[in-house]
Amino acid sequence: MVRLLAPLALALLGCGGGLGAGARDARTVARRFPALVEALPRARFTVLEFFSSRCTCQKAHDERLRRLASELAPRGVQVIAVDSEATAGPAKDEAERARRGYAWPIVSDPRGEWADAFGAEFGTFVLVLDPTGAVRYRGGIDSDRAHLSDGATPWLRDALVALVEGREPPLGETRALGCLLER
Amino acid sequence: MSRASALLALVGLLAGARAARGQACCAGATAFAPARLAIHEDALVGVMVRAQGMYGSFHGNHFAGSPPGDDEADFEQDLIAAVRLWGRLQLAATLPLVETWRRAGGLSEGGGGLGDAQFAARYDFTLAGGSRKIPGIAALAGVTVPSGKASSDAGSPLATDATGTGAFQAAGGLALEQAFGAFLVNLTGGITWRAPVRVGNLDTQQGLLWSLFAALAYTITDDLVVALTAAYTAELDARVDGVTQADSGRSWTRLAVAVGWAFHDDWRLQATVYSDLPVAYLGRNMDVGGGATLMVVRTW
Repeated sequence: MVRLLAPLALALLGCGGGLGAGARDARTVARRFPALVEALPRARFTVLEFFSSRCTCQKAHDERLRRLASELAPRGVQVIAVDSEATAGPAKDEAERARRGYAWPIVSDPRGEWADAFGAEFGTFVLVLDPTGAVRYRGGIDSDRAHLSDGATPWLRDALVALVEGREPPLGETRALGCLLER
Repeated sequence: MSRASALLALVGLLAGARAARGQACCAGATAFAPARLAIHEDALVGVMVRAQGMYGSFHGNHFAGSPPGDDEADFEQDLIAAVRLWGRLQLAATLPLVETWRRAGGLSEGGGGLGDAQFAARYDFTLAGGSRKIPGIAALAGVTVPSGKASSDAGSPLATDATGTGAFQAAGGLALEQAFGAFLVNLTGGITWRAPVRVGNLDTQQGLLWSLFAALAYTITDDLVVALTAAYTAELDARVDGVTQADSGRSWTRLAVAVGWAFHDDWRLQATVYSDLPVAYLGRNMDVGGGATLMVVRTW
């Protein structure tokens, strides 16, 4: 009963916990996940993307994310996807990764621990972390949802380009416009 | 449609539920609750048009078709707006224009005008699709302002210039919603109270009205949702000068098929075909009709 009521109470109060309201201690949070601690030093910047296999917005942004990752990988940017939905699992996520042609891994997080820690509520929510685990950008991939337009503002791309050029991102925080993560 | 059921309909518009295979959690906003803001929407403006014909009525609990020569057609154009105030609270307003054409007893006439303005609020405690264990839970509230002309104030012989109830109304409700794969289920209950109205020398008050709305939506493709909805609405006996008028209560049951098409991130279309059920005991003391609606919505 407590296992049912506790999330209900948190949900009713609108409390997601984690880093949603600001990077209070992003480095501490990042250190809770050994896979992330291990991965961060491998790149100048790490894009942590919360993935939803059933999300239209996710599907719509696959090609944009593949192009961005390919373009910026030589400049020290890596991508790690995290599937924090209740249906997550290594076999399913590996199949999704292969089907979508991702050159990056999908971490299975069926208990939603990564989502809770980083304040992720929606699919396509991204964080840009530096090698220390500090959050340099959080929010959406761009200003489109499920229908892509040429006029979209490329929030993540703008942030990454600024960071690899040694500047601060034009926007440090935006809105992720994907589907609710099903927990 | 009575103003009270229109208010419940607005509350219902906010009550409902986009799906990969679109996200089923948001199917309501596309298919059966087009005036409701979906999760990333901050505001919307919509126009809905309705055409409806009446083909009978319940006398007590029994249905009878309209007498030969008696006809009624109702038309409505609603301007609808909704805005998210903060977080999970959204407000909506509907301003209707109502037209009626009626033929009875050898007379025929048409009339219309501004209907009763409706305002509704919705607060989502939880969102459908966010949890497998906890459904979307929302509180609903609404008020109707009698900006239309009540039938008691109508001047034309067949009262086709009546466009409202003449009474302030207040409504409250609770909506539960959950996604199951490409399906979305919505259950909404509501109660509407109507203020007393002075008619001639009498204080009249319609009875408390309650309704139960159920919807089953299926997300066909990323952008296209179809829904089957059912609504049962019942009204307790009216009171005149404090005296309950026995057997004056009314009820009706309405089935609808709705299709929603979110053809752009910022635009959606919704169409509905509906009918009241002319089945004994599924209605009482009410005219029975069927019709169609079409709504276009621009969101931000």
